[in-house]
Amino acid sequence: MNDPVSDRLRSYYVSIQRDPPPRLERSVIRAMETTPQKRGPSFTSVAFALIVAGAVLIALVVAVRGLVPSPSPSASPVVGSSASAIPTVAPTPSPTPTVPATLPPTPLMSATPEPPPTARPMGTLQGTGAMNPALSGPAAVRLSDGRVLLTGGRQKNAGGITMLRSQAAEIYSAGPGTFTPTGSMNDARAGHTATLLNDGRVLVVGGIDASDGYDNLATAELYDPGTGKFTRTGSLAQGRARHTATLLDDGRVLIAGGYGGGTLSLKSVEIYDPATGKFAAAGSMMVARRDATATLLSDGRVLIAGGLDENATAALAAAEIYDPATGKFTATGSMATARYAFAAQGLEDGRVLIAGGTSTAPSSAAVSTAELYDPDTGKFSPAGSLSAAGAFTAVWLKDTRILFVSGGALAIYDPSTGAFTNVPTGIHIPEVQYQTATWTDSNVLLTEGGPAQVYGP
Amino acid sequence: MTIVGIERADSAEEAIRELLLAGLGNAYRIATCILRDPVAAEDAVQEAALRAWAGRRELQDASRAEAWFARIVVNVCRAELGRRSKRPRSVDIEPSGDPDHSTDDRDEVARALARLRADEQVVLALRFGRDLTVPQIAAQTGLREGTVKSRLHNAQEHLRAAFAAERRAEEVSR
Repeated sequence: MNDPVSDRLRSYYVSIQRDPPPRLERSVIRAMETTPQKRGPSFTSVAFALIVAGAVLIALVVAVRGLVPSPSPSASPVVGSSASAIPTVAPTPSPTPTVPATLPPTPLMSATPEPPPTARPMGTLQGTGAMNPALSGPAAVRLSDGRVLLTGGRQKNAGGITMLRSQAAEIYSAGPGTFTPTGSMNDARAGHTATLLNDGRVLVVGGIDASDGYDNLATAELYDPGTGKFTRTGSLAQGRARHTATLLDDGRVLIAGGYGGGTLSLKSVEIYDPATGKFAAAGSMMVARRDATATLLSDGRVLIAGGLDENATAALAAAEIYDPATGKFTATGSMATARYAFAAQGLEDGRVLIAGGTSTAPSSAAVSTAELYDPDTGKFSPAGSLSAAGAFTAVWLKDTRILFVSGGALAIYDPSTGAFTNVPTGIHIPEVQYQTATWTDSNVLLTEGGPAQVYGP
Repeated sequence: MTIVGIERADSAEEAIRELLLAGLGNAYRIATCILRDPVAAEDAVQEAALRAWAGRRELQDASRAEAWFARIVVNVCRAELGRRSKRPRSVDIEPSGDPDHSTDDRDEVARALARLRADEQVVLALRFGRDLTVPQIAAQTGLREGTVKSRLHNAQEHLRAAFAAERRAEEVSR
């Protein structure tokens, strides 16, 4: 079969094949440990698996067990191995997490082994309540009163498989450290966005639906914290997931790009106006992208960077600026490293810090480098590296510092020193693409569907 | 914690676990070829691994674990392609409207593949992406060898037509 079509296909497939990202094996190992067995779990089997998996895995299980007490070793040798796989933990905030002696020390950032003399405290990480139901990859958003709304994502089914998209929504209250159910969304969805509006309501947009399909939703809903209910609002012209949603200074929400179906990433952009409850077309980006970031700049413009390209064949280094005043997109400087599924956070001085993510060239790999975008020059410049590469989530600590979250590590970027420093956590933080980090009024909620943690700066 | 009295079933489970983990690389490459999206491929492999692990007691022969796992991966990917295909094609495959944007060959192939049925995309990915033989494709898809051959033939014919359609669409956009 050496016809031109065959040759083109072979060349094409060679060009898109990559090695799996290192986090894949770690994610699967962790999921195996929490997947219930069809028959009663055997303590010896789990013990053997734990030994073979090595010291890191042991540390993971023991550390999590420190957060999630099991009734007895023989009944529940693995965290979350009950039929529901939902740990039932009292909300707990203990001053110090239970850390076994076997836990290896959290690696410190190689670039900054010693914190500068003026460095502020690194803070602590401790366990808190667990989501119920457990939602993998929910959209998390801080409400006006400091509570956190978590919506949708993928919910474990009876077999422990985390694939069913969920309608569920929960509220996390930092004071008591509890998750409580709130009204359900009208549509089950994952890969959606949730954006706090200026009036305190939350706009939930798009995502992948839950029918036995993989259709991208064009629907949107509003959550009212006063009533605890979701109501439908206007619909997108184009169903999309893994898009960006950015609250503009005028109160509207910019919905850009995303996964449009097939393998196609979208260029199209829509804007939601809370005053009318409708979406309106807002032109197109210069480049189609999904899994990108969109960051509101201090001058009201929006920096859209990176992501996966139109056919999801390559990560993008290109960035562009949306100006709400003109409704136009213009190219700006490009990142040194093409990346998708990374973290971006605006700094108080107006610059934007970008870190982590995943690259596609020459092969799929977690990225550890960080870059700073300066709106004044329109250029990116190097900003050091994190020791723990991968998909990161970033959250502003309100004291000018930025907390980055990655598998097994927390790192803080301090603009005053321009350096990253690891936070010794003593608790394993699952390395998943969907880790969320949300600032409450007093701490940061970290969760990806299992036991949650809070980081107190 | 001591390891004594390890049951035979436990050893078998451990073997399956190790085989599944060892097969993640191959599974990811299969999923990448079929889904053509690294993020979706990662999701699919995770789902397949969990399905395999949850159903590990159904596997009678550990020596068949790799093929068994690969088949689950293909099934998960095919299901996702099938769901994708429910979307209107006209939205998915319009070439870039930017007249200055020269679409490279890779993107054209990707769009043409998106025009095919899910089952056709799967056999093409396994044949030309993973370089599998017809019997190997049959084993990983559950199809008969004759069905694989005819599906490969039809898929290539449809792909030729899709390439032609892509070229026409590109000419129109210019």
